[in-house]
Amino acid sequence: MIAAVDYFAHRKQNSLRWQSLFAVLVFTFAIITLGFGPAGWDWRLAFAWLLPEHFTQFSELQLNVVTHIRLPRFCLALIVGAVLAQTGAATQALCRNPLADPSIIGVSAGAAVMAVAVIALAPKIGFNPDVWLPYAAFSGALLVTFLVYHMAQQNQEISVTSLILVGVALNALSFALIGLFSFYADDSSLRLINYWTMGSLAGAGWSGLLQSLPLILMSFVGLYSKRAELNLLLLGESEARYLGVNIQRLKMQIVIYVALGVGAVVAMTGMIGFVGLVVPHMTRLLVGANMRYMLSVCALLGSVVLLFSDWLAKIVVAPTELPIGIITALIGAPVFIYLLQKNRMRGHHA
Amino acid sequence: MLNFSKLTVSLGKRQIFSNLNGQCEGGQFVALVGENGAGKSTLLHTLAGERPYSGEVIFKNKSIDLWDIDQLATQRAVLTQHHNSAFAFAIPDIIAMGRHQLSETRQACVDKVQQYIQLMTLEGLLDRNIQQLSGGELQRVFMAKCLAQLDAFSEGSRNKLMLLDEPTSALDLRHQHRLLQIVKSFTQQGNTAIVAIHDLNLAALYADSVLLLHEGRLQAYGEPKTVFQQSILERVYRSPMHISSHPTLNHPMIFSEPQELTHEIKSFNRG
Repeated sequence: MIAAVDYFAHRKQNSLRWQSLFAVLVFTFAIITLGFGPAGWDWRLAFAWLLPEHFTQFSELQLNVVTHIRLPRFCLALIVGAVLAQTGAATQALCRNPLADPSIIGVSAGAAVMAVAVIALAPKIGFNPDVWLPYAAFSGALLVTFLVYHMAQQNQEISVTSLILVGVALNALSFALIGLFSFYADDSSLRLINYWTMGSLAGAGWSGLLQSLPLILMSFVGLYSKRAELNLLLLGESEARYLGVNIQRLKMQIVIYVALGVGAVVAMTGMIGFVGLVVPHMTRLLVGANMRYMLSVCALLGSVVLLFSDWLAKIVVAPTELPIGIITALIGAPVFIYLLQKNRMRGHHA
Repeated sequence: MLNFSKLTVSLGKRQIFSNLNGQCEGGQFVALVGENGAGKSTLLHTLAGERPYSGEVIFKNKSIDLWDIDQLATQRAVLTQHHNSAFAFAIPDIIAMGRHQLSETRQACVDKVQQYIQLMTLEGLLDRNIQQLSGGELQRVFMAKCLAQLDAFSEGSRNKLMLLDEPTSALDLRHQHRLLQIVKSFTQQGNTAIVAIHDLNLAALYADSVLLLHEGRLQAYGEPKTVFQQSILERVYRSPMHISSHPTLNHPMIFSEPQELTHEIKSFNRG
């Protein structure tokens, strides 16, 4: 027989154990991504940039590659993975549905539409698109989250079927709009569509990261601070209200935090699908559904998954690279199908 | 402690009930009975402050609409009929969620969770998550959450309100009695419970007063003995009834008779 005390202690311990494992994996990927690349293969490169220049045997060029290309790309993968995983878990709480994910229900696509619109149209009216990019993507994500939430809701319930159908429709509309806008862009339109719909971390740079950082931080801290309320929301809206949660305010906050995170991420990397679906699911298998214990594990695992996918994207067809969205979709889509099947077998329609 | 007057609730164009008046004193166990669809659940959720209504609902001298929901959550708990189990929470997770509004140390919370696990006899189920529980087991878990929410059996727990929607519908005989006995002890400390229930005999055994809803109106409200009368029950349930008294306890016992259906069943073959 287990006592509640043991249960909670075990939960916490288990959560810490997985967090440490994933932290070690993140560190390993740090060495791999910082130390290995076309400009030089040496694990010591991963640390050399931290030291004063005359202490190392590496050239200035090599160190510049690490600090201006490899390091921002590593940071980008770290942040994007954590944000996508966390916004995924939050979207599932918002919809009270383990199958919801910002890329499946069209939120990422909404963000991409606005991003492409800004890139295509801002130069024509004399604005610098880079400054506006994260905010435009945020507004697109916000709009779609509201739309999906209201269109999929029937009698305070959001069914899997309506959620996914609304997602299919909004994704289709968004892809059409991205295609349309990219014909107005100066850049080669085909390449642009590819970049926004498949995602890539190749554009990583410090300026883009810094521009999106405020949005990312707000999303990350905001959602993490709401983890106890997210738990209650998973029990259903009336249940949460009976436990003293202001549901309208909480839902509004979640929608905004999710849109901030997804918008900022899409502005930097384009659409990277399925991370928000697969990572929370795996995390629940490892540490249970309780957000108090799972959210930090979920964010770390998200970073690990993104770092791994980005590494695959770089090596599979080297010397060129694959869009990272192809990798995450190849892993994520089968998991999604499996979850759909499981969901149907359980006869769970709500 | 809880008063409602001229209470009217509609769902769309359909009026669920109209012009209900009632008063529940502290320390009372009120059974809410009536046919399927009589509006029992709707009344409970309205009294809980969850549904729009016209009329008045006063809880502790203050309209239920004017309560801050976080404060209200420490004074009234609701056991709903349906529980969302799309996410595989563990049993202690659910019970601990009842303590959301209380500022207490983690250790204090864990101790309380342990107490309510024992009270609802859930110890043997702790290695399962809520997706692996039967309907009755799930009911006991959420009941434990309600008790934990109100700190039901701590010193000085008075004038609190528990609204239970068919808490015994999936329970076996032993757990039915155990749960209602727990609710009874809760009310004997000076708290109030309103319990929607279909089993009239359980209502007769435990309730201090019975509220009988019929066709959107308050058909009767009073002690079990005055409400559970043959003429009243036969009119409401449209079945022949006999009332006698419990062999060892001085409570009314209700016996219903099988209904004659041969005629209706035969009509299937005729058409």
